[in-house]
Amino acid sequence: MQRIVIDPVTRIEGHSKVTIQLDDNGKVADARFHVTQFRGFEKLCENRPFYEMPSLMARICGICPVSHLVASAKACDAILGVSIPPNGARLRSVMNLAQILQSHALSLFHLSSPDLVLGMDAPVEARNLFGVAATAPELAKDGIRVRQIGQQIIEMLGGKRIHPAWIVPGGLARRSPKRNATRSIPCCLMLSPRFSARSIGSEACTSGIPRKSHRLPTSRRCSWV
Amino acid sequence: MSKPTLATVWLDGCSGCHMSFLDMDERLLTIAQEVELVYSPLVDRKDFPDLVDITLVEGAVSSEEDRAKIKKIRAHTNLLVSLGDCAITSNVPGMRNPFGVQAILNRAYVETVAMPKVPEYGVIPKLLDRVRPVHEVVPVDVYLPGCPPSADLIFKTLQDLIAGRTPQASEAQRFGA
Repeated sequence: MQRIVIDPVTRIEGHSKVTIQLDDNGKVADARFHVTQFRGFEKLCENRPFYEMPSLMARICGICPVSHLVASAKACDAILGVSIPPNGARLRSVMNLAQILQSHALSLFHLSSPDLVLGMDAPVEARNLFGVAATAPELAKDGIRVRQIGQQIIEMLGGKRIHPAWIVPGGLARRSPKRNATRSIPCCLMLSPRFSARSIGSEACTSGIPRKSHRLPTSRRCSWV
Repeated sequence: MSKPTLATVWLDGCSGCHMSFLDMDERLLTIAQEVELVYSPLVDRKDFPDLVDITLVEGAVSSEEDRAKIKKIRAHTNLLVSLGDCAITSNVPGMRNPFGVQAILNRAYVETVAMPKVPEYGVIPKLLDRVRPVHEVVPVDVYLPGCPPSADLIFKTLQDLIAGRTPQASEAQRFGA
């Protein structure tokens, strides 16, 4: 009987390992994915004020805190028996979309790009974002930039990039700090001209991506990005 | 002279401090020119090197694995930095302490599920009776408070440490900020 252990699992957002149990013939008998962390949120939130929950639940994960903020705030909305204002719901969605943007960039560029750019056989020391930056600096910078834009939208709305205390039971804690903040979001999504599909370098990636469709008039570009 | 080496480790935390590290954005590439990142969730090497100059530790010590890991890291690190409130105060992971291990496992695996069964240790890590901040287990050299510490603070502290200056984090950040 042989046991293969992959610990830690890399390229993912979180703590985990994989164990594979082989039988006497060397065939896979069992395989498990382990999340190697247990904090007991199910218990530790008991008997606390409900309005603490979104901020507390956000700490489940600092990579996707907005998901936990929204889920917890919705549960609290239901406890209160309220429907939140439509603009509040939209702004919660905007923050959630910004998180999707930053998290996808993290997954693709910060975590997976070494395998895609340098190859699976590259030396261990080089297989990371900085190894990619040494080989393809523009690609690494673009990846950092995409994640940054997602994080900046979150910060612009909630005042803080990670664990913003903005999404609360009943809606939002306050108006976003910058007036008309959401108006500048579309131009943030128009990534720098460097970030064209070409920089990814493969035909498979470029097909289907309209080259110029996301460009907006200069007048609507924003200065803070 | 070769570059100083840097490691980052996550124990029992939410990864948010590591995300704040990434929030240095393009300054990451500046840091990469000044230090070599030798061990981290962001790099592939799986064994802790013999000697690392600066190690950033996120998270509290809550399992036997965490405890063994931090002791090994301390023995092979020159400057150990507690990164964020979980490492410094045990913060949210420490909120389980009043309940005891059995109660939190029962709540998650028995009372709230259709097919109750607490998984054996090995499948989940063996939890310590109490979650502890890093400095209660091993000596810590530098503390960076915040939930998470801001990217600016992490950058400034790393620059100070690389240049051999003593960082003054308490002026730049308060707990829970």
